[in-house]
Amino acid sequence: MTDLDRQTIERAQAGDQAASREIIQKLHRPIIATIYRFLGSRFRSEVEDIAQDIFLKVFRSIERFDPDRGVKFSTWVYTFVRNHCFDIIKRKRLRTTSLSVTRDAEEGQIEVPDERAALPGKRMQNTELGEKIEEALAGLGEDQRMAFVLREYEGLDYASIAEVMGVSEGTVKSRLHRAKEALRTRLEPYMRTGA
Amino acid sequence: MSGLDNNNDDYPESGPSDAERHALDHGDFRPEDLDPARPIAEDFEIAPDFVDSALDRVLADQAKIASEADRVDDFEVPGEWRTAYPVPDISPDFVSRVAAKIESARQEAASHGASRAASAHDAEHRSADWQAILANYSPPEVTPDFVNRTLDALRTDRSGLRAVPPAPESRAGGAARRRAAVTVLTSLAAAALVALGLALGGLFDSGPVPSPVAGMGKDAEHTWTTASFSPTPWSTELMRNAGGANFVPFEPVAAFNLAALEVR
Repeated sequence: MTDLDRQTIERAQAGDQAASREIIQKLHRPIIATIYRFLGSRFRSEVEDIAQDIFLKVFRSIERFDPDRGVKFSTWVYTFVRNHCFDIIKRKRLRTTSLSVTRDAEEGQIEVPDERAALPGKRMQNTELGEKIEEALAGLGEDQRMAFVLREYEGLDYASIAEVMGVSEGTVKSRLHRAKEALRTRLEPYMRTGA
Repeated sequence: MSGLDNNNDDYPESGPSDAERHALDHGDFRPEDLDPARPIAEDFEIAPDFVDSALDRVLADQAKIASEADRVDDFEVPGEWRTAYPVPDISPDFVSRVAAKIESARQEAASHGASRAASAHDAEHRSADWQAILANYSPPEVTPDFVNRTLDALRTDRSGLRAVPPAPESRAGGAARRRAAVTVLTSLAAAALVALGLALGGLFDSGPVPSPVAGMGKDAEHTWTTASFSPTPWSTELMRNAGGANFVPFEPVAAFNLAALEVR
């Protein structure tokens, strides 16, 4: 993703409305796409509200962004996306977790059974493969899923993903490898049939 | 992350230990907390091979991560995975709505900032007013020889006591009421001490026992203290010496033949 120019960011930091609009205009599509693919279609009706909340958080903190630190502005914004999405998952888990949780041995994370699996008819997906991709993504650990979405759908480089996730590039690559292996296994039947 | 995280109400977090809190506050552990020989609890000991086993696991994990990282490009994600999983259309007015909301939030924050600044300004003025009040307030003037005169009079003839001169006109009113309240409190406290002083004077003085003197004052830390003594030659000398530099009469209570002394 091409980053916003420094002048625009500095104007937005100074409270310039036009610059703020420019930032929203430039980033809203990838942010909404990331939220949608990370959280899944069950959040479809809330995705724009979630994106709006993220922008509010970004602009509340925009004065703290330091261009001289060497981190791209869009990468910095993605840290808000990641944290906000993880918070939503956490809150959702607090509401829905039951004794049926299963442990992801590799990541040490608790995964909540995806309620969408029981409601296939209510999904709003374009294709059968799309539905299966969403199901497969939902079965990944959160860190793997976020890394996969940022890399494969939003095209972030490893260094940027590492910055967003707060881990090393090696860890990002490791998570991506695991994510792709898991997805390949789950989606292989649909790939064979050509979906 | 553990399953307990889902039950915060049932399993409240205990928070960081003292050592961890110190590390968080100071950016480092205290040297004593790093001492491996230091016991953690009476019934808990760190396994002797903990460091070796932990290091083994860390190295194994690092090797696994490195191995997986090397294979990150083994599988190329098919292009159809991207096209088959599109995102929904975004509302046409999304950017406008968010921009308006952000501007509104900014204005609200600016308004709160102005309000806070105004409050700070008010507080500054109040503080200035208070400083002016303090600067213009001074305790009533006391006759320079009050201590000596009072002690001498008590030792010889109680009729030698005389009342503190009336307060200047400018200090009448509130100051007078405050002095009256202090006088009442002093009298009550002193009355109790008179009884104690009488008892003590009776115990230690074999000669004629004049009426005791009670004093009430503040020490250097402005803590109110009380004292009572029988005006025998030795106790009078003691109080005179002590009062020479430190004691200043604060409020005489003629009705009880008492003197209230303030320690500076």
